[in-house]
Amino acid sequence: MTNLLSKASSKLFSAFLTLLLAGAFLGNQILIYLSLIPLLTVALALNVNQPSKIIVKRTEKELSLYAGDDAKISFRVEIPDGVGIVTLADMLPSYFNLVDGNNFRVLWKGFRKQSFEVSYRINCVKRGVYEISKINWESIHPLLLKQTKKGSEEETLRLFVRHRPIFIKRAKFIRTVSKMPLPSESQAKMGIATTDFREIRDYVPGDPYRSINWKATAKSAQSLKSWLPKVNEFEKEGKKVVWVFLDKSANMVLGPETKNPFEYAVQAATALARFYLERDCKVGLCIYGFAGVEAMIFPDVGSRQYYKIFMELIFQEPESIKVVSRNEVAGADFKELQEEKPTYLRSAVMRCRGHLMGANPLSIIVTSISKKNVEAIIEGIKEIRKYTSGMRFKASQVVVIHLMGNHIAARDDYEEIAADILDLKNRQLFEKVRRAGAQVLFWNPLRHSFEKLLLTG
Amino acid sequence: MVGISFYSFLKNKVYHLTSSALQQILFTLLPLEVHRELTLALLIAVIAPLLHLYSKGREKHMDGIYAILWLMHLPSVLYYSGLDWLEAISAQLNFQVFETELSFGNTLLIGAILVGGRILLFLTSNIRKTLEELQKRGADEDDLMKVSSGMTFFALTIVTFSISMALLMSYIIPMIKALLNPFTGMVPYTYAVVGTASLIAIPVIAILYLYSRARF
Repeated sequence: MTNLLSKASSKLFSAFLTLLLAGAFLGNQILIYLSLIPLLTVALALNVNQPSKIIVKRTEKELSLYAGDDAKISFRVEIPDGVGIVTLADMLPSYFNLVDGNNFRVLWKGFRKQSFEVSYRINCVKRGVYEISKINWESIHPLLLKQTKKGSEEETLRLFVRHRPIFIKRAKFIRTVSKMPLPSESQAKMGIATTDFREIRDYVPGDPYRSINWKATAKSAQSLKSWLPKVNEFEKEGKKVVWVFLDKSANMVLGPETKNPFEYAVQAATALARFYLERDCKVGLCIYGFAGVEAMIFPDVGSRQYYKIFMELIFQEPESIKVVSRNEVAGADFKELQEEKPTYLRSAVMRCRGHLMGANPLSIIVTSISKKNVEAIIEGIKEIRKYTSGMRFKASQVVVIHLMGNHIAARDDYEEIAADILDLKNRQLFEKVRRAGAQVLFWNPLRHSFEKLLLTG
Repeated sequence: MVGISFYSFLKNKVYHLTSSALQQILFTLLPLEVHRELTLALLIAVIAPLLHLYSKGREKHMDGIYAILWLMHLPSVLYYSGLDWLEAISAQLNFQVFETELSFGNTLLIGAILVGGRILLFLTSNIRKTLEELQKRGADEDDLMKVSSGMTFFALTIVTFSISMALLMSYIIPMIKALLNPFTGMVPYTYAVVGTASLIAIPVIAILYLYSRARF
């Protein structure tokens, strides 16, 4: 009983009993009549039920927006029965700010059937795919004489938050000379297969299954030459291959979670993929970290490839920074701790070698060069250059986009100056990378647009 | 409500006795003859600051105010008691000392206003607490204003309806009683008391049972 009726109704009921008993004890009709007032109040109020059914329908099921943009979230609420207060709380995920309106609403439901339109504006600061699924509601009795009912409605809204795309135009003026290879129509040894047969070769991961030549495979297996399936190789239409290597190691986490080198690196990788795909190049993506290759998309052309790359990038999060405890330092070889897998980019490149070989690709490494990872980057560049050796004396086929992390993390002018000093200190590191055969482009996203960087180098 | 309680008190014999006693005390202490209306002024002077203090204080002080208001009205209510327990225990006083100039209907009306007011105050205080809680949870002012007016109107309607029903019953029951008197007069007193008690108890227990079984 105590669970069902509230404290307020118990108090009113006890007032009724007190007056009734006093009236009966004194034989006082006035007190007996007065006792009817709290009794009638409780009886009448308890006959009125609070809303029991709340129907919520979102106006949109999916929303796509750019990071930093506002979005309007709205839903319709229908309350068919009951009288009382209805509270609605739309649970927002992290990284969302309320800009206008309120995601917690309190509504008064009268005797008639009512419907309400609830809307508010939010702002998301970080890319990703988010879900706003639950709308929690509470139904409160108009005189608080009954226990509050609680429930939730599952109405999922998916929010795709992406970086604002960078549209890179072609250089129009002679003065704008790009150091970066910007093909207007890229020709390469690899491309879309034509119908002209070239050769039969061994299968490598990523080859479409339909290209397997089953007869040749069977013959090869019979003669015990090779157990690998054989595939038909056709003459390519001549598309240039571009590989984007995205560093997601803990080196890329400097500054706030929503504005760090990794976030800009993702933006750069998306822009590069779009740029080269729009120019009919085959674009591949390799996301690597200290742990090795995290994700790999084999080179392909077209808008579907862009979508694949975009969807892969939107979910990516940087590796967390490894905190080394004092005991670990004491127990471990200090040299080992200093050199954290210096070959991780090399091993990532080796994973892609089947697609690098013979393609003479343009390789773009998006990273933030520091003392910690410079050796790994150099090792990686050396490995890439094995597949572009024929182009040694031409424009560099390996480009390193260095995100100026210290500048991104700087909060004021003093920290900007400190970042400049650190960059000067790291100059020899950049030289080392250059000497390894790569072109280094410096990008401070807070000062220069990515478009400008690509056009002018 | 303070006004009607005073009115009830002024119409009661207790007031006349109190003011006479006060006149007597003032005459003994300071040899001056005080007019009866002055004693009223003195009474107001004593009670008004008390009420002011209470009304300025916290919500719990309202219970004190209502206790004072009821104390002022209670003598008039007691005057209409059927069982005089003071006389029953052979005390020197009886309920005739609470004689009032107010009619039964007026006494009931004042009592109904006091009870209704107290219930309304209790409900509005609960409403205020709920609104404060909702505000802390981040509700908009506009929403709360709508909810507040809706709840207050609802509470006012229910309480007014309850008072009206109780007053209506006080007029209807004597009429029914007069109609049934030839039959009920033959019923022994013990049976009447037990029957009435049962008539009250059965619906009360039924209500309690039904609400305890009800699903929320």
